[in-house]
Amino acid sequence: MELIAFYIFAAIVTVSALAVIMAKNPVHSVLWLILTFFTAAGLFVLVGAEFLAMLLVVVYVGAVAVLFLFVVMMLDVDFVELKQGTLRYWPFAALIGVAFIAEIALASFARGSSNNTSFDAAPGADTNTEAIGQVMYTEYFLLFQLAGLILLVAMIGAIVLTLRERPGVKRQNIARQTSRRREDAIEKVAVEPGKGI
Amino acid sequence: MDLTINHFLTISAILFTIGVVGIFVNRKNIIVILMAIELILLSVNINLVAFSVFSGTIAGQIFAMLVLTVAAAEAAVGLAILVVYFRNRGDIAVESVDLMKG
Amino acid sequence: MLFDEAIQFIVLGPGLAALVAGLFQRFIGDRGAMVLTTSIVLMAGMLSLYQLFAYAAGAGGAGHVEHAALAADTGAAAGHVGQHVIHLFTWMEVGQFKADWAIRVDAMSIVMMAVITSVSGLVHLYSWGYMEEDPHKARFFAYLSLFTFTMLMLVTADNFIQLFFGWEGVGLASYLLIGFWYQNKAPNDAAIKAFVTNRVGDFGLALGIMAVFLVFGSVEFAPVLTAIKENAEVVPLALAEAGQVRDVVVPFLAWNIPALELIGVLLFIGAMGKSAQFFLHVWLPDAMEGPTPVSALIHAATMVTAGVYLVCLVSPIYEYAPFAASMIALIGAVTALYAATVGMAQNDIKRVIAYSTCSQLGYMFFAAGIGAYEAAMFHLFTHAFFKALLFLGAGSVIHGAHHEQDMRNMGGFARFMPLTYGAMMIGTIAIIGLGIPHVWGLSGFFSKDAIIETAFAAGMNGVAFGQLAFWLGIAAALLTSFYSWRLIYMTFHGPRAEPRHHEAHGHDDHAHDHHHGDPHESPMVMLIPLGLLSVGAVFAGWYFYDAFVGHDYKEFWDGAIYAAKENTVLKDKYNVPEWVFWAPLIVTVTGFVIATFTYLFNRGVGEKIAENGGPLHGLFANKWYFDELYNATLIRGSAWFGDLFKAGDKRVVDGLGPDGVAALVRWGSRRLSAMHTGYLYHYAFVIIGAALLFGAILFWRSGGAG
Repeated sequence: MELIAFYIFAAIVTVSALAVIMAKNPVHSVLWLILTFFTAAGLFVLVGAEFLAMLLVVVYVGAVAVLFLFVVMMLDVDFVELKQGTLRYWPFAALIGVAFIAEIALASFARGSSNNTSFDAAPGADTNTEAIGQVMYTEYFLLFQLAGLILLVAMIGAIVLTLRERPGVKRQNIARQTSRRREDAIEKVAVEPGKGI
Repeated sequence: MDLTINHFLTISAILFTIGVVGIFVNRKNIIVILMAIELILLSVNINLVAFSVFSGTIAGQIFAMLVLTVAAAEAAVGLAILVVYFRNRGDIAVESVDLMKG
Repeated sequence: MLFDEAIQFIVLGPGLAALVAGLFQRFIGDRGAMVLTTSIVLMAGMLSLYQLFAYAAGAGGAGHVEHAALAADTGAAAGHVGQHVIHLFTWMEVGQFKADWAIRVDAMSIVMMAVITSVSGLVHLYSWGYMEEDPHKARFFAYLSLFTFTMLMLVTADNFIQLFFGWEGVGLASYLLIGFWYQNKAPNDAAIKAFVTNRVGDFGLALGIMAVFLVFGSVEFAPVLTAIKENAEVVPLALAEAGQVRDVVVPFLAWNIPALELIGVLLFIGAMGKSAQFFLHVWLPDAMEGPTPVSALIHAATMVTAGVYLVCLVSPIYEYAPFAASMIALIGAVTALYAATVGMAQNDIKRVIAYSTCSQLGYMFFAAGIGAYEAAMFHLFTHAFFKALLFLGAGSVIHGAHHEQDMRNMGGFARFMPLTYGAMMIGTIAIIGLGIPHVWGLSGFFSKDAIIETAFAAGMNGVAFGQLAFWLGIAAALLTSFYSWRLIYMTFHGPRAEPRHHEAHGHDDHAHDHHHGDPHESPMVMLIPLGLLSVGAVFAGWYFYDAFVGHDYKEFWDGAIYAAKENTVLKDKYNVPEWVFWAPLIVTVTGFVIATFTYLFNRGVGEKIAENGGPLHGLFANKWYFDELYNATLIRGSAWFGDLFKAGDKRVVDGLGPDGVAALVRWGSRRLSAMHTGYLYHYAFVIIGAALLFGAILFWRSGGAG
């Protein structure tokens, strides 16, 4: 049963990955990417790593892919027809692809393949989440914090890169406001009756 | 035949290759390159989780989580750079990124 | 002898002063530099003079026992009784080769220390006045002190390497000081000429030191000289067979050269260069481009005497190397006469005195060559005083005449600068060696006559070139008297000459202000050294005669100078015929008469002879055309030889080396930079390709398939 599920998922993942890189419309590419992520999450659930699957959906699909979508739509990219010239590169690319597959296959299966069919996604605990939780905040706590730092740095980086001051936008300058003195705010003028300022 | 780790390794390899090919076969725009990179990272994640599950150690999944984190950070910053680049150049066709020539 | 610390102060103090004055002029100012250097050197001078007097007083009696006791507790091997070595620290020690920084204190170095520091101190003081208007005073005084320091290092060396250090150091100081006014061309050329000519001699010296090490296995004086004195067994490092040192023979091509002769000749070549002897003398007159105090210190009293010092220091070698000794005697005698002939025909006041120096050095060398090393040292000692006196006096004349140096433009200065005139008179009488035999005379009389008497005695004993040396010495004495009086008459007597058009040479390069009124006397700070040197010139000979060459000479030198059993010239000089004692006086008076006749009474005769002099005068005035000869042969020859290699060097060495490599790099980088296409996917492709490659390599390294 699992095998059939696996093959279905595998097929979908492969097709949608191919579609990501071959789609003409970049918005379509993003949508295909989202499908890929979902299917990969399904693969994870298949083996019992549900925590990671949910993470994939929330972070990758919910954040990263949406970010991609925002940027694609913001950048106002045109449809680009598959130009004649680009066909030229496919044989070359196929060569590289074959080389990679061969290498990975060799590396993975050179010493014979494994026959182990039992899998356990939650060693030492009842659920996968619990198993992860047991080590995450104890043994790998430093890594956890560092990951947080990395995200912080990335956030700062993204803001710094894209923030721009638009001229002419009216803003409050709190420091100036609170440092205003009474003398600057009020001006007493002696007004002659009937004359005006 | 039952599910073994080999299945997952295979699918991971395929995804990886698709991602790699995607990087340099695409001539349309740079965003697709970034998406191909995400594919690569995804394939690595699958690999890690597969090993973790079939070997009974939880460390692989922890690693996968961290890879996830880094991928997200990298996507954010990459896209920020892309946005700034677009502001300066006006288009994101891969062929026009040749200012570093020479 | 003084305390060790005092001696270290004498030797090292000037070095320190030079360093501070040279590097920190910004902080202590010109005045500070002058005061520092002068005071240190003067203090060293006073200490070393005291040391000399104490040593001389002690030499003839109780002092001797003291020396023996001192010798018993020296650390290093005492080369002879009365030698005391202060070990500073080890410089090099490689296998057998050992060279230290040390201060050797014996009769030779005590004498030299006294001479060097006292004359240097007086020159420092004199320069306060002479260099008054110069903007670079601190540099000048630093160089003077540097020179003093290196010269002291030379004379207190206990091994050949430190001596060589001092040797080169004084050469350096000489170069720096001759070229002190480097803004002009002439001093620069002169400095280079001096240095290069010295270098020829230094090459010989270096070869000599190498030969010493080869034969003796050591470069320290004590073991080497002791081995020669005792005729010990030596085992040369290479080339020669082991044997008794006086018989060791070095085979070279077809000849077998006795080792001691080889060493002696090579060391003498070094001495020839440094002391401006015949063949390597060409630099001395040009060295007069430097300021007069420099000429006084370096090219009269001290540096040029380093060659004499060396020869006397290694006297054991020359005692057993008759060929080398005869070579020294011949060259010395020839130089003495040659320089005197040239000095007769010079018009620049400094050049006359320069050639006089050259001639007197010739005297010293031929004295050493015939075995009378003590007489050579004695003449060195007295010569330092009266030659420095003459030079400083000439400087006073030049200073007072607003930097006029051509004697033909002088005349009648006696009434303008009486004190200078008096000092120059004393110096002149000293140098011509005026005195009454067996009675008394000025210092030059004692030392020069000692040399002439020993030359005759050597001739009687059959020493090679003894007779020749005697006659050439007598002839040179006549000419010495002549040109010295000529100088006095042309400068101080007679009418004031019309300033004539002068050739562009030999100027102190200060302002061209000859016509600013009459010449004037120099300031006190310049006259005091003249006075003190006059005292030395008058009394030094008489006071130290017995110690140096007289009855007490053995106790005074105390083994520092060695004479073989057969060498008895110093004693034999008492036994020469009576006319030999009177001969110098006769020729001196003859020269005086001739000079007086041509320059005092018939003033114009000298000039007329000069103008119509014919070939002989031309020969003398042009220094026997040595410069022209060297230029045509050696200079042109080396230039031509160097040019031979120019094309090959340019094309081959430069082409393969720097130029070729640069061109290759440029070609390669142009090809490489073509790889920067700027296209992202090209870059991505390379990254991926590299990743593939890496993976493959890792895969194969870990054992491959299966």
